[in-house]
Amino acid sequence: MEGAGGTTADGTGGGTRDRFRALLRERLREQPYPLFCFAEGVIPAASIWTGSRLWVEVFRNAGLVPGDRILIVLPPSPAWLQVFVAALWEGLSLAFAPESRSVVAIDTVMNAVDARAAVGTIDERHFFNADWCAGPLSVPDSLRKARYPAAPEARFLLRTSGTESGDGRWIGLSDTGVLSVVQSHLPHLGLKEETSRVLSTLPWSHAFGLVIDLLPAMLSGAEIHRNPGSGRDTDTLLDTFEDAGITDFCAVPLTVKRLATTERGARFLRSLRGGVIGGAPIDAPLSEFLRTTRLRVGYGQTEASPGIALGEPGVFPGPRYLGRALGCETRISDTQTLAFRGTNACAGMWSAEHGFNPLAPDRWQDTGDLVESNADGDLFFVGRSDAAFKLANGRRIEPEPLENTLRQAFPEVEHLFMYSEEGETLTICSDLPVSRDAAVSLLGSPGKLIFRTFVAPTEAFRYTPKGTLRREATRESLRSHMLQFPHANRPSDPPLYTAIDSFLDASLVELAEMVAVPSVAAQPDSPMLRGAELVAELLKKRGLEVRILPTTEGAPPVVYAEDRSAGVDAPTVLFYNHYDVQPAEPLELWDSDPWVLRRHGDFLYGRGVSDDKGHISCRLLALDAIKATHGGTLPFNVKVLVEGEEEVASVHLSAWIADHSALLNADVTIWEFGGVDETGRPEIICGLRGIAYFELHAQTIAYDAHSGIGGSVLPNAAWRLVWALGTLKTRGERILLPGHYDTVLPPSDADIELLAGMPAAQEAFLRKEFAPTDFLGGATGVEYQRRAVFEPTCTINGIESGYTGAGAKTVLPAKAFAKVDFRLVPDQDPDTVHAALRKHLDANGFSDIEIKYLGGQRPGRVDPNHPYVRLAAETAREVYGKEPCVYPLVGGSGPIHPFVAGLRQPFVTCGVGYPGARVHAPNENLRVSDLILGARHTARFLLALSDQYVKK
Amino acid sequence: MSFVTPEQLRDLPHMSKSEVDAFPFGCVRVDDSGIVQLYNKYESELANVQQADAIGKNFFRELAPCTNNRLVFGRFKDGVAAGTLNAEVTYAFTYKMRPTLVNILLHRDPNTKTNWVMVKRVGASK
Repeated sequence: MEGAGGTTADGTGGGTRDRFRALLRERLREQPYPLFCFAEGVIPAASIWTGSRLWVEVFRNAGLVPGDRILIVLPPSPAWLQVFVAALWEGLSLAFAPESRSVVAIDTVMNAVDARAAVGTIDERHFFNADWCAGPLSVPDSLRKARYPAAPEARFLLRTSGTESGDGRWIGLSDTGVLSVVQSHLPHLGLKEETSRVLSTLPWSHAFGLVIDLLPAMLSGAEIHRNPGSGRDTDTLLDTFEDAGITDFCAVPLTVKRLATTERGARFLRSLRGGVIGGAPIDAPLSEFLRTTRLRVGYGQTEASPGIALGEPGVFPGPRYLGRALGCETRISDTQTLAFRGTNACAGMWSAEHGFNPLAPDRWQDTGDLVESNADGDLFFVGRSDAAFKLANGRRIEPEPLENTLRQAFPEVEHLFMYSEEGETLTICSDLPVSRDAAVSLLGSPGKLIFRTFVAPTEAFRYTPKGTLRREATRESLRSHMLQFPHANRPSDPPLYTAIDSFLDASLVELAEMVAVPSVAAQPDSPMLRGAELVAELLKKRGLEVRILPTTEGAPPVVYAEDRSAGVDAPTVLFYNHYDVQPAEPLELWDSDPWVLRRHGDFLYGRGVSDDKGHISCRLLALDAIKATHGGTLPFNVKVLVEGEEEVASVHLSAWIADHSALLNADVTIWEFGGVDETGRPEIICGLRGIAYFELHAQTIAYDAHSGIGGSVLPNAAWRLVWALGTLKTRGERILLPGHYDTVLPPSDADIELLAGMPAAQEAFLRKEFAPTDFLGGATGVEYQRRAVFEPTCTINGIESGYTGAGAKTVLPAKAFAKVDFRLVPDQDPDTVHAALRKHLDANGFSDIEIKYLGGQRPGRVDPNHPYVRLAAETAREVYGKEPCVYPLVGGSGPIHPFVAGLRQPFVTCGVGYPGARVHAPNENLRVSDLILGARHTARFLLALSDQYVKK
Repeated sequence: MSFVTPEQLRDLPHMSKSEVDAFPFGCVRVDDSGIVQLYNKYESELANVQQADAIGKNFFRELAPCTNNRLVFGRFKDGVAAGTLNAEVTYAFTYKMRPTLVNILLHRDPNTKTNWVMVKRVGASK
């Protein structure tokens, strides 16, 4: 390429347009390269060219003249390229928006950029409708009337990726600006006709994708492979890479990082001949990896068309490297912000309110980026000047340089965020512990403002798709999740708490051993016996008499243990827990092996780490500490029942308990779970709902029929099932099974009082998370709380029938089935529901609907005013330093009934759970701090029980 | 899922010109360097090139120079060199100055060692 001379400084001269025309004609007409490869097919330059001729013709016929603005809303495709070429040829101004088929959305953008027409894949007023490669399909009846005059110097209108406070701005780039960046970058990129194979994943509607990725590849005559997943799906990206023998790749750090973590991806990146990484800061680990590749850093912003600096292949002298200035002058101001000046500068800004606002071509343009430079001219990103905030006393804090200092001191920390919680002090949140003392001494004067440091899980930190920390969103996420490190309260029992701390490491080793046993009750061949034996060993080690007892032939056994050395005058507690866990699948969603306990700061990850093996550890830790502080004995008798089928509805537990009731006799059961809510308030749970689970099956004909042939004569199983389901409840949510509400006990006044004291945050959270138009029955406040737990439910969990795949299949299904669960409140009984369901279906003419009863559990409760419940709440208040939240009933189910009704025992909850624990899901986790608090609470409760115990 | 049946491929080397002309798709026989030896009626009409004018020209370099790239001519050359060729690519040709999406089948008959380029418009009726 030659220089972009022969043009006026603002790019309005005919010279640049002619230069574009010459470049395009020479590069495309009758040429086999550049060759564009899409999932749908391959198109050579020659057909881009002939297609663009068709577009030139319709643009002219439609009355578009040079300077008119049109909007491209096409996906990356031959049509996109053809329209792009035609618009440049005609001297039109082009605004870019991501692919869309929403007329309303496009209309908004058209209005914002004052476009006379849009080119897309829809047939609407003011639209050119494009075929994938064959040119225009339809033309607009009329063009929109422009509000603003033509601004040919703003050849390209691109929207910046935006900040958190706004949707981004429209920047007008000139031909000169874009060509000067292509010209300055192209010789460095090493792209070659025919032999360069470029993988294109960046959006062509953004400056990086358009000017640094697409145009250089196109003007070099490369083979360009467009990835259909836009780079988000690593597998398809690597498939494209391998199939095509990709040599060059431009991407944002997040994409590269994702690839670099897999062996296949790292191999790909290292095999590349060239490519540019840019768009967001590159952290230290990624920099280190990039040194083993031939990728180079590119830095710029849309305002710079977008090239300001470029690095050399594989040269990443430190984190947040930006390269050296290229094609423009740069300077760093006293306030450390980088400014640039040159032909790359944008022509001006566009706004819907004022149209085009040209800027002086020879100006210094402030980037808003805080940058450092060394003697060699290497630029390093420090932060955004707009990340700065002011404290209440007017002091300005620029958090990113401070964060970088901490990152250097704590290299293992990946996510780190500094903010002010209340406007007076600074808080540092990170994914691994950062010592407050260290932070204070490292940060000099601002360090003195640090109030606290705390740890949050990785997912609390929010990033843009390019990998830039979204500060406001991260702050909001921390706030909404209230992921606060539980306060280390003033120990109310220093020796006990010290003892818990001293046993913690050993406890974590045991927890790791338990997590390593994949005791998945739902999956055949799981090592259930090994799970039982390990728990038995841990109990035996502590001097309990242990037995492994069968429930029924072939089912996972029960571990029973006891230590009754405290004698008959001491209280007896029964721990109920389970050693079975949920399946770990889908395994690919785990960040680490679910069967290997992984610690990351305060967080432990692994299947069962919270549900329920962490609770077993919590009980053992409490027992260890109590013994250590009570002369090696327990001041109470302890019984332990650890079952292996909790996650499969405890199918054999009821019968087993009935057979062993004498063995299990105790003053109180410590339930298998407990913990804190999202604000760190301890939760005391007084009841669980029951459940009855069914499948309903309909079969109407022998096998699926053709809907055209059978539709009017053969009965359809899907309809049959839907009609049957439709009889189960009214639209007012009243369940219509006979006698369904007969045994329902309404909440007591005490229950209602507790419900009224429930945190409103839960209702607000549900409303925010699920965004319903309204809750059922318009419930809110106490009624919301009542309805959430004291109302029986009938839920269709899923329906399956006929064809639901892509496209049309005119089938009339022979079979249909649905899964339906009924959540039951005290004193409903799943067996009664089962019988009533059959009766109801028969009575409504659906005796053909087959019912499969998959099992059920009865609801169970303890009186929230029971002295032991009150004791659990009091001790929780001491341990957690927060008012406990007592739930009269919760929505979930569990094998509570055989304990409270069968054994006639009250139960209390204390434990290690929290709302972010992801139980049953990938990345199940436990906070070590919660394990400590749970063990403290368990121990404090047991000791208080012993202190206050008066034998009945 | 080719637009040419296995039977057609098998019989192709033994068909008369009129039989090849009767195909509802473009069919071109080229030598190992790409020189056109047979150019059927359908292809002639699609490309607006007289059959007689096509004979003796290099298909990839002269008649359809936009195919002179790795994915079409490159595959052809690789296939000829390897002695086996049966590649299909969806390609945007330009016919009569209009981009036209086609399926191109590159085939080499192992027995007669004849090379065939077959072209069918995507979306054209069967």
